[in-house]
Amino acid sequence: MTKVMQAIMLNLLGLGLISISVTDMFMAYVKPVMKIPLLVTGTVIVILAVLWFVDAVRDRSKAGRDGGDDHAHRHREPMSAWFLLVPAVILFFAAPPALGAYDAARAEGNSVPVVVSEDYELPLPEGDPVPIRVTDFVIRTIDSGGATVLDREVQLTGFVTPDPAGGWWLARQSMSCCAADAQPVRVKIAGAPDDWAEPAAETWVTVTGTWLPENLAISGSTVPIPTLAVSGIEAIEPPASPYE
Amino acid sequence: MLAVVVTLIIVAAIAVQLRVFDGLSTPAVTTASTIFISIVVQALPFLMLGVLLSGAIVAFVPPTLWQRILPRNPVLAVPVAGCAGLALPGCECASVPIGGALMKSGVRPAAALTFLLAAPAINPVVLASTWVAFPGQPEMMVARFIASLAVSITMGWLWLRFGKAEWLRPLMREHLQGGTRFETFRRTATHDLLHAGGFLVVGAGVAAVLDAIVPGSLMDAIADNPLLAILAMALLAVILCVCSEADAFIAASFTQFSPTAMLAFMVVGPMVDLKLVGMQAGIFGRRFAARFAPTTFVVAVLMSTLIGWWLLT
Repeated sequence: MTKVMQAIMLNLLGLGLISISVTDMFMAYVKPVMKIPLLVTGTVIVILAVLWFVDAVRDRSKAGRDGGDDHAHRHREPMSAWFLLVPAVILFFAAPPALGAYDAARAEGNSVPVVVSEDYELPLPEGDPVPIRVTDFVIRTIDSGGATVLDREVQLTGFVTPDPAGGWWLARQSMSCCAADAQPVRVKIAGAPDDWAEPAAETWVTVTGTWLPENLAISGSTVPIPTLAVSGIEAIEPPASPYE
Repeated sequence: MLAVVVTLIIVAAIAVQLRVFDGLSTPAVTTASTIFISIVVQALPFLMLGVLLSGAIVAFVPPTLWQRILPRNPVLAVPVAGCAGLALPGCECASVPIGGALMKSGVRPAAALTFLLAAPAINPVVLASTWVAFPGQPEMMVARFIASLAVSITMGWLWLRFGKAEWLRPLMREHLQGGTRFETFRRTATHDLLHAGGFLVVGAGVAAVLDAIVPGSLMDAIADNPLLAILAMALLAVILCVCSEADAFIAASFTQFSPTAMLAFMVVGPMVDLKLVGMQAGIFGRRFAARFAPTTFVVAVLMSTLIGWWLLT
């Protein structure tokens, strides 16, 4: 592989990073805080690539002067840099969406890290309904027997994930670093009006409702999926950052 | 060559126009593709930090500095290098090129490899996240620190005793030496980025495919057997390629597994995972990676079992 080719690969990769950073597409893969690091990384890669290209051109003209001794070819690099073309092409032409309903339906239960902290013992903030994260809601239904969410009207935002056993879940992907570590969190929707009986998968919704208290036991790695008796469902635009 | 790439890109562009990718986008393919891109996108800023530091070490830090800091005796230099890992607040993607740069500037391979293994596992950021992920269980953080440091030092000593220099790709490249220090800096950085980046892509690709096809129910069945559980969590760490700054949260979510199995996940992950093995092959050569990664895996599993049995039961 020649230096010129390497420079092109790097350039494409750098431009790919800059493009997903500028368009906010990167939020489908990593945390919003990565915007600037990605922009800087992309820019540095492009600068390195351009200078590498200049090197290659200089090597060539030098080799020409030295009488045909092709200097650049004596330092052939392995083919591994070719692989950089794969993410570059995917980022430019087929950037995949954030993890959604397919992945959320694969797990057997909820797999939220059971972080038992003081915060979940505190009462929910004032407000009726009170908007909270799906992850927080699920943890609160387990913590202290669900005392903090009992008889409270909550507002949850997530995407529709059809339940193969009938009905649907409101789901959200909980992410700590990148989508490779994302874990789906789900809430079973009960009492949806007829026009919301079978909504399309991946539809983003905000639901209002109250927890249907059950004795939920943790089994194995799975946290049980709580049920929400809904009083209102509203379709919304997908949020910029689909993860929690 | 140039023509090939231009053709490939034109073909890809036409494929987009013809909606070929839509036909390919079954949910499983899309999920694997998302995970693949996520690992690459998350790793690149840290890899960039690593290659810039690596370039800086080669170009600006005089080799005599390391000779002054590290003990002459290589057997002592290994544990000192391991503890030095406390000082690099990064994750494993940065440590591979830095390990290579340390070797280039004259640090003994055994000490550089110990640093490479220790830094992403025992730095303050990782220890803090482990503390947070296991509330009320500070012994988990202590066990992780001790086990990771012990594995790094053991690997350094094993290299001293059994390692052969010819397994390592020749690291000093004359053509990377520029007229000025800045030239040397940027050429070393670009060179490392090309090598480690290419193999990072391969590791991320394999991880994404495996992640998409291994069913979760398999894990529950394994968790019941204590020894199998440790091995399974260690293998999972290799496959998932989770960043060391986030892996404690993932480990904590496998509540059906024993604390020792979770420990194995956190000790193995920052030292051996598919993207890391890829990058090691890129920086140090395939002959090296083929020996170093499996040995590290075995040592890490044994050490986690031992420390887990001591501190976590």
